[in-house]
Amino acid sequence: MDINELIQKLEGEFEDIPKGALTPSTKITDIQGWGSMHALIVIALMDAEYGITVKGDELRSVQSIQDLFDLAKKKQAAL
Amino acid sequence: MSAYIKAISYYLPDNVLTNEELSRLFPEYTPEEIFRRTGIKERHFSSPDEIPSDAAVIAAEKFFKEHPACKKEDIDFLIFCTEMVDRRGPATACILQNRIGLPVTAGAIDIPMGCSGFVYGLLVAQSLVNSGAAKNVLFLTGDAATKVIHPADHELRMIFGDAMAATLISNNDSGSIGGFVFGTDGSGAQNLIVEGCCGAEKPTREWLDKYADAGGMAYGKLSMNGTEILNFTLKRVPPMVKQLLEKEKLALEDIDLFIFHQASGFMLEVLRRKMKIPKEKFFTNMEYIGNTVAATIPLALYDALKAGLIKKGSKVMIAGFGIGYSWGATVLTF
Repeated sequence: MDINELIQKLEGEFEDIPKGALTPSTKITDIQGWGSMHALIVIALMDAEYGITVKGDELRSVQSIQDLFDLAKKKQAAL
Repeated sequence: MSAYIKAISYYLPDNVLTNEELSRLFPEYTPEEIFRRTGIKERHFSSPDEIPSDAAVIAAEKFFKEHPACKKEDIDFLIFCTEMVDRRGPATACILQNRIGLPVTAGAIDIPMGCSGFVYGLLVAQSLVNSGAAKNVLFLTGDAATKVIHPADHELRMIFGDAMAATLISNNDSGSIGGFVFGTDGSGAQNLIVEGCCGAEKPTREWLDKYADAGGMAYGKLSMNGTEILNFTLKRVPPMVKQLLEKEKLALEDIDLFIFHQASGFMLEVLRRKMKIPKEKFFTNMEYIGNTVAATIPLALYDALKAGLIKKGSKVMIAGFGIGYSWGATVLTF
């Protein structure tokens, strides 16, 4: 699991943002147009790409993309 | 001889809520964005004085007109599936027997289920026919979710619409309704729920005053935790499909068409991708209808039949899932 790969996948899913807009320190709620739909997209992506379940309140407690990556890694290790 | 779906009709109320209108009400969303989020362009909604039983009478009349070979006098069982029944008593199905003009020798029951309701009702209808208890089961399925959505709740208003379907389950030698798989997890009840109504939460003066601007929300108020509903769906639907294929000794490729509860365009696409179902075998028809709760599957079956996508011998997997949590699936052979 690689954070750059996660960033690429997120940029692929969010249609409104240009490539290279996201970095590990980007706050997810600062992503252009962030809203309830984006939360669903992230949850679906985590399930499809990493086989993990991220709950809504876990996602709400995540600040940056780095935090999201750390959460995903932790969950994957626990599988 | 085995139970099969003989014919379907459906009714949509005339009132239409477009994405343009939603965008006027909620200017932070453009019509295009609403379509991209939901896969829906229009939803139909019932007039304030029209409740699901009224829609059921219209759908039944439409059914007998559209399928003249099916006669009211041959109906020996009526099932009405909705979460918005007329009263605590009598069962709305009893009132409908009289309003539609069905024989007094017919049995009549309500099944108050939502997104999985069509599958559960079909299971009951199949059991009635295969046991010999009934020959012709009229199954009316639908809801009026728009009546329990707060006018300011843009997420729910973008998704839900009202509809009613009429399906006849009879006996024959060719088509069939296959085996069923199903499940229930009431621990998720809070994540999709109608609050402020019925026995558990009796409507109070405070409630009616709080929602006075929205007409009092006297039917109750629907609330949804979208992220948890998505997680529930991802967790339960793919294993259900796998379990059903194993039970019916079929491979994914043996299914000619998949018709899932039309929850939202996004959710259906996530499920389709997860299960690797080819796009051309995955039917959706919610663009001009929306999510009509218990009515989505028969509406989609009707539209797929009309479009010629279901032929004699076609195997169609139907799957319902949602409020409860409740889920169920079967394979229909036409």
